[in-house]
Amino acid sequence: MTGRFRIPGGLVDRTQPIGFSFNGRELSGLQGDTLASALLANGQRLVGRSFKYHRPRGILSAGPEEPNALVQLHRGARLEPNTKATVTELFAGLAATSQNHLGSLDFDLLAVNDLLSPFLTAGFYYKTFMWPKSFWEKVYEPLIRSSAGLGRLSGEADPDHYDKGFLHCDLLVIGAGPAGLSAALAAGESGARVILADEDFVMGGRLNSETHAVNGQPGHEWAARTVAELAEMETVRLMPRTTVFGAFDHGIYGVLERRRDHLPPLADGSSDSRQPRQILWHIYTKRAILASGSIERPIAFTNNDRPGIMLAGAVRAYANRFGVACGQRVAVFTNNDDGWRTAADLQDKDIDIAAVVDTRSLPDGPPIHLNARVPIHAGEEVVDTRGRRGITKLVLASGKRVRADCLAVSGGWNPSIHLSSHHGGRPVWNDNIAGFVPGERHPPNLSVAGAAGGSLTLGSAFREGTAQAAAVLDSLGYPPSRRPVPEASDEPAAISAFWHVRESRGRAWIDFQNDVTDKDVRLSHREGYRSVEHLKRYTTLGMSTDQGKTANVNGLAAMAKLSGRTIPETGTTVFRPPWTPVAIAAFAGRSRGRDFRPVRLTPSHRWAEEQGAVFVETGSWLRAQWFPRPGEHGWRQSVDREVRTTRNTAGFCDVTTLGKIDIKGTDAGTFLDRVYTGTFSTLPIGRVRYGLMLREDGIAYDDGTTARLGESHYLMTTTTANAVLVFRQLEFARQCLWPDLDVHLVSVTDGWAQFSVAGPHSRDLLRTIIDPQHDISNAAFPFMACSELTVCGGCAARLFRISFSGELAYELAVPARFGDSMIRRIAQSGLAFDAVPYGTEALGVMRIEKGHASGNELDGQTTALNLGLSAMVSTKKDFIGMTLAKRPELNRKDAVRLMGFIPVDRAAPLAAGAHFLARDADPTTENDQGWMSSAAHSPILGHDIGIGFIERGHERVGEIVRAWDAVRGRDTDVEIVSPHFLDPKGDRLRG
Amino acid sequence: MIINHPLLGPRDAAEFVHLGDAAMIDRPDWQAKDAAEAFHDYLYLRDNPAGTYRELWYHEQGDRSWLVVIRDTITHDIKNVELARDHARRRGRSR
Amino acid sequence: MADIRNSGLAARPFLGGYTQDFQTVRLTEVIDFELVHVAIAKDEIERLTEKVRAESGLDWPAPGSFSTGERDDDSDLRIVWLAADQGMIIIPKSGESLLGTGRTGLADAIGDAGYLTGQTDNWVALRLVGTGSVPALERLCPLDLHETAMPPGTAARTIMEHLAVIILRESPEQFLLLSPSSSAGSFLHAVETSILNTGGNT
Repeated sequence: MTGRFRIPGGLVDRTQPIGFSFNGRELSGLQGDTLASALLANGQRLVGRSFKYHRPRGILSAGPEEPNALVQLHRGARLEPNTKATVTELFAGLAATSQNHLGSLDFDLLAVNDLLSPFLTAGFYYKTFMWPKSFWEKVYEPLIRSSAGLGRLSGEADPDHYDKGFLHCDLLVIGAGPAGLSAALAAGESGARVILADEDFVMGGRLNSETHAVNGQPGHEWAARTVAELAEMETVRLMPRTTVFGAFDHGIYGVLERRRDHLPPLADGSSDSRQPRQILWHIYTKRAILASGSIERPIAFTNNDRPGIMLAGAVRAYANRFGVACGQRVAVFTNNDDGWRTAADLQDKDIDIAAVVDTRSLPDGPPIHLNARVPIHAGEEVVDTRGRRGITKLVLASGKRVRADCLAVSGGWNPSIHLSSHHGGRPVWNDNIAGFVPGERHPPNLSVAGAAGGSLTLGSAFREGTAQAAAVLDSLGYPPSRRPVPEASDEPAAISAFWHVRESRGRAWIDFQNDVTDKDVRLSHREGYRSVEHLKRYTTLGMSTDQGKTANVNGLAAMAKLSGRTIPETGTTVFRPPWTPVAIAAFAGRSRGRDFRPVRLTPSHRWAEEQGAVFVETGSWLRAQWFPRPGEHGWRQSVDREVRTTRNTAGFCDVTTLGKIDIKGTDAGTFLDRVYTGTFSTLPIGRVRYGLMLREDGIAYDDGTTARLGESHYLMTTTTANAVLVFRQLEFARQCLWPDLDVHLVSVTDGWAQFSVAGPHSRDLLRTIIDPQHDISNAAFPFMACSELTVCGGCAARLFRISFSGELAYELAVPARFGDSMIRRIAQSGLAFDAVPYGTEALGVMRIEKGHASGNELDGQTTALNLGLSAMVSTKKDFIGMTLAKRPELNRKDAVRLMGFIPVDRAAPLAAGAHFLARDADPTTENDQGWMSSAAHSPILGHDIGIGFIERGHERVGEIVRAWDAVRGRDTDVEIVSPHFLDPKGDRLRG
Repeated sequence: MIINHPLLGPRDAAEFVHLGDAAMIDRPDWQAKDAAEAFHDYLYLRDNPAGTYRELWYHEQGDRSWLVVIRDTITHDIKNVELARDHARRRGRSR
Repeated sequence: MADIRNSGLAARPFLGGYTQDFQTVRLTEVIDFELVHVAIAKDEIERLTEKVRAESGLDWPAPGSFSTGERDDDSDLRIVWLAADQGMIIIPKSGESLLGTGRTGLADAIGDAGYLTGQTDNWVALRLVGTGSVPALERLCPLDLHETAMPPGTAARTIMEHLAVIILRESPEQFLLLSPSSSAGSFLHAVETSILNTGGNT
């Protein structure tokens, strides 16, 4: 038993019953059902409550336009709100619940809103919740939050997998109805690479829901046969359950493929749980054909929203495709010929037709002849309906009442033009079909075929699909298709525009999902909203999950009538992606949790892990922050020890993350002179120089050391953070500013594992590693020397005598694959010299003790003058930033200078971010004299130290100022000192 | 978006980094009398047309070439793409 | 780069010499090769091209491609087009090292027509072979993988999962992928995920 409303026929498999539940009730459907068709088969007409008035609602449509039948699927973390029952493929165990009611679906306590409707009209939020102001947070907002919205989210992380991907084709056909199938067939046969995408799980579009014949066979059989033929073609990719949701620039389409939504949810950890639930495809196309068909629109009349009042085409679809009768006595209300097909098809299935009401006078008689017993009311209108939880009667303008449990309404068909206006193109009005068709400005290379373009008959869909494919083939140089246009008889398609029943006195719904009625449109008009966009925003017409697919044109028609204009004069809103909602999880794809972005590891990472290092993210790198030892409590103990040991004996640290750029060419020196403030063309081979780079506006950009390894070979280092940006900037200079210099840039950041070895014992330690033929004595290898040499018996290496810590220090580089082995060797050899590994924290402490600027100081607002680096700025040559660095404002006498700061009370803590004020000044912007950029505890000095920028700092050594830190609630007296807290003359690093 | 690279053919804009006005190529002469003013204009005064725009893109995830792209900022229609190096030479840039 | 064969240090492959058979593909870390970046000195492309041809027998590759010897497999020398003035030589280590200690062979031949930079340690290399390779790459690679658009012999640099990748199509169902070595683990994870997501269980 699969439901008492099940009738013979249809594309459902009667041998495959499927158990599912709705609001906990166990029901049965068939393979091939949607949730909507299965609910209707079981006589479940009431499926939800409306958004604002909590009116009982049933299924309106049989497709993605559904405004009413929104349900929640699944439980727990997989809870999925606002799922359209009309496009939900039935599967065993599907558990759906209705949403948007307080209490049960049958007795929704919030239905009282319907009685309060005079107060809940358009704009009621703006008018009602204005005062008193204090009520907003405590009363109104919680109230709105608890009653607003449709479904509910689970609040848990989504347990499913998602993926993304890229596909390329000559032709993307959007929609696999008659136009799409014929286009794909013609193009595929000629060898073009075709992707045919359709959001339904069975391709064929309306052919599956109608009783038309194609080439003398039933339409759905022709569709199935054609799909099978396309599946055999090597260059054709069929994508059912796939929504083309957006047309983006240059032929790229956003496409969502639902891989698992029609299957029971996986148990966590099951073997198939890797399979993505949905895939977001980027499809790159040369051409696309929009064959998205059309959507039927309702007619506005009083109480037109009761369960059982449905679109006529949907009633037909449920009967023909799903074998479901939507009622036992069905009435039809139409303004066009197509509505009559519903009556005819249902009559053929022995369903009782209560009446056909046509707004037209039909002087030539009915467009389709029905059984003589069917009462026909020409030139008549439905003005009201009765029935609490579903329609029982309709009332005609003449006062006549007709008993019916289903009213099939057809107000004509709107072409599904959504994607055609994604590039801002405005739809244009077509009087023949009383609807909007795509305007002039399509996305380039997108053509429209069939009903989507306003050609509403089956024959024209075939003709246009075939013709558009032929045009595509021709433009891409493929041979023409020999396939004849499929034959179908053109069915009648006359329509007379009819939107709204004048005689209606009560509320007539225009937008079912947002509970917008004709009264709201009138009110909006009365209050002065003349533009369509204003109407939309004031009344919410056309918003929410269905984006007004059944409402927009009727809303425009109502507005046009009020203003005495035509619909084209009234205008229309345009559409933006997506066509139907796409889950955020699908956009995120794999980029969640630890897959959010790639992680870069230093060559010593494994070893550091073994040492129990604590790691920190610096950009995409993971670096050792400190190396805790047993018995140490808290990071400070570890960091203090690392600093002390390094300064007393030796320490080593992985500094691979610094950007390394090989600069080669006969003009390499000239090039460096133009990008650095200093001169590098004169740097001797085997020497290193500190370099400062400015932006063109004269602000400091990046710094680092550059070594000269050969006549035409330099090696530049950049800060870790700016490595990519500096490379980009240098390429710009090389290609765009000085295109004829002989200079080349190669990134070698990842190629070299680089370790800093610092401290008084560092030279002795390195002597145990560097091959003995290389002399690294102070005389042979002084401060700022560099050399290519070998280590450990022949391994290629580079040695630089540079120091960030202020100690005697070196940086040793070996090819990255040897980095792991190298760090182990340094650690092993270091035991004899009491050397310890140190992390980024100790690195930071030591550079602050030494007063070296870093990212905190090169913060995009400081100049060489501010940084105390004026001596490094050449005035004799051009370089980037040279001219604008000379601007007076950047060279004011009272400019801030990089200085050191120590707390007057040595026990007081310092922190970066504090602002400097004169001792008695109020903390105001006017009194602000500068800021602390970096601070640390110096284990060498035994108290906190800071470096920062203060006006005229160089002239104020010894002065006491306030370091005012509102964030931490501190106000500390500090003394201005030299930023070089340690060894200001540099004896250590030259030793 | 797709940028039709003059050497590599159509590539997704995701491979590129956008910089902006191709006038950045016309870096003024530092020794000119009005150098300060010229650099000011060079750095701060940019056209912002609704329509055809000549702009710089960098093929960072590709051949690392800088390109000059002529793009309509309203329709995103791209009329021409060339290597910035060629464009720069035509604008008189050399060594 | 100097020869490292006699060194007391051990080279550790970035992925530990990873290899894994999935249902429809095999994924392997390729470790037995050297990479050398070649930058062409200004206005020297013709001289460099001739020297390379004379020494190795290979043509300098056209944009978007790589050139290789007659054997056309990974035991052959390859030259990959990287940019208008740059290329990368892939040297099979099992064969004779053309760029060994003391700048012999091809390096000497190129002389001042170009600038060489060792790149072996900058890149991790994965070879993806099998019928599942194209479906797996469809989840990663924005380029058109169809054979008409990407015939064997194609080399392209692009972006996959935020990572720079040089992709070489060696045969219809065989690809060599190079990506920066510091993010080797993330790159392997991205490729493995694509294989698993396209039904390639181990």
